[in-house]
Amino acid sequence: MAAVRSEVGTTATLAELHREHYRSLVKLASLLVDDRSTCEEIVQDVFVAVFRSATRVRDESKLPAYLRSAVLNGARSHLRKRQVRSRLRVVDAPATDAASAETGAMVEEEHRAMLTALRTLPERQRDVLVLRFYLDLSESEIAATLGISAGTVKTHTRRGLDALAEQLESRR
Amino acid sequence: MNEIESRLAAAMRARANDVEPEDEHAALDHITQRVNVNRRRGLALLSAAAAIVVVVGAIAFLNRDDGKNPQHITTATNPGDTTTTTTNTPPSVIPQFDEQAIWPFASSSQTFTTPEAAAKSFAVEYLGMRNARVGNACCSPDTAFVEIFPNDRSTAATVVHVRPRPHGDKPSDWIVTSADSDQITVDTPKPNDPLSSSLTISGKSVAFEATLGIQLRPLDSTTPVFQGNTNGGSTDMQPFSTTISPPATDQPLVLVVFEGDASGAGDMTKATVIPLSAAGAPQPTSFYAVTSSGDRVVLDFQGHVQRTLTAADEEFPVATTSLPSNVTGTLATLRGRFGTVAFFDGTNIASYNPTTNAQVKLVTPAAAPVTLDADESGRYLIWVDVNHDLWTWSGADPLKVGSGFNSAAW
Repeated sequence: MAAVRSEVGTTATLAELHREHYRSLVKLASLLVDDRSTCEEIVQDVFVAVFRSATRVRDESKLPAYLRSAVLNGARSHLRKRQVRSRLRVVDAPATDAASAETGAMVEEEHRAMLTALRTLPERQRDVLVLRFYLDLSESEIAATLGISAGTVKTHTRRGLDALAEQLESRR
Repeated sequence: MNEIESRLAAAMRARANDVEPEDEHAALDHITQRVNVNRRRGLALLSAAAAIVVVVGAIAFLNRDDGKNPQHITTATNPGDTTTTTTNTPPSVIPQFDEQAIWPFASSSQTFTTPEAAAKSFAVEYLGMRNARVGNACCSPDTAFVEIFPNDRSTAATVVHVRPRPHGDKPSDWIVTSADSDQITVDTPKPNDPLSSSLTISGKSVAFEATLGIQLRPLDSTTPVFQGNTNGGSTDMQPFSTTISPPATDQPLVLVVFEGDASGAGDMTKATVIPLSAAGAPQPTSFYAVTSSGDRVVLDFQGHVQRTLTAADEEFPVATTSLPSNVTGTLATLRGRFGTVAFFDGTNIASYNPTTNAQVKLVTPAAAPVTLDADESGRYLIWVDVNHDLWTWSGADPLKVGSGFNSAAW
């Protein structure tokens, strides 16, 4: 079984990592990307990438942050590509998957509007808000995950929330 | 938490609660399969490179025509009489190439004591990956593969092939010979294919906006002599193919197929880099032959009669020569560019090197030839055998291109 080796010589197997993180990472991706199967693909790509370049993960304690960061990057990359395709007028199939369509009726319009607004924010603001208000990470943890300063996290959080409030207000 | 924060958190929780992976076990299987495929590919690359090193080394060694790799083959001296002659092994007409360093340049005094250092320098200075990061390295004493990522975030690896400098006078001096990306696979041309006036570049790729850049660079330069682009896939691997006209040159070139950084700053984010050999001698377009009925005709290399010669046409000379007394054979003809002599030794058409006195078996004809000629490049042979069959040969199996001939010459 493939394993991530840390500097201290312990190993975490792919199965362990998968069991521990796969589901939560798919959920994380789903906040940014609306199609569940795409979310799963993004997370699977992350696992493959981690195990292809295992030596880069030198400290297992940082692995969850690394995985989260990689999922955010993957989601960002997917959204960029989709924007490009949209510019080229390549129309995607309806992005909402059947499961969410079925349960969509139960999701309040408020939630829909909020997520729609979230997904229109600049990438960094969006990432910061997801890490802060979905994963409840501290500013320093978010800073470490995204490779930015805590001050920048604070700025993005404030600007992101202001932008969300403004967008939601304008919809009323 | 204020109101907007609470509403945002609630919306995200609701969305996350709605989403469940379809089949986690299947997902784990899928990931494991992909990880293993990547590892097998790495091993295959290592094996392939090792095999290439062995084959290339063997070819370079055997192609020297210098008699330093003796093998005994039987050479006829007289009918019914054979003797054993020390010769080289076949065939010497495969165009020679030495695996050249793409990086560092031959004109540079740069040396690299580790594969990683060579690969990183290559990525930064040759490919323009200013923020290149080294990933895994997989080494054997003769070759190494080093993963290079364009920056700290990207997972798109360019695998740089590195090996010790041949005949280097330093104990560890690594050179880059090629590179490839999983996301830009090039089917044609193959490494060290000879350049031609028309070059088809094809394969599969996935790249930003589907766009692949193409460059041809001289061996000792990062300045392209040809630039273009083509389109593959943007979200998944899709085929690409384009045919270009490289500039006329008798020098080797390096093909770089790459994805440019989305910023437009000119950086590469992944690349496949393939060395191409200098243009070889072009295949002869035509040759002369005399049919069994005495007609003199011009044929193409595939044996199609192009026209019949008239009395006004010049005679066609066969570049015959003689063999030294210690070499027994007939039909000796000069192999122009190689400076060697092709001849029939009674069993095989062989090549004799007058400088080294070495002999190399080239090809075993189906029947004894009665005329034999080599083109100016020395790479192509043509003969008519005792059955009046006309044959051509360019390094692989001989090709019967006609019947009813008495002789043929370039």
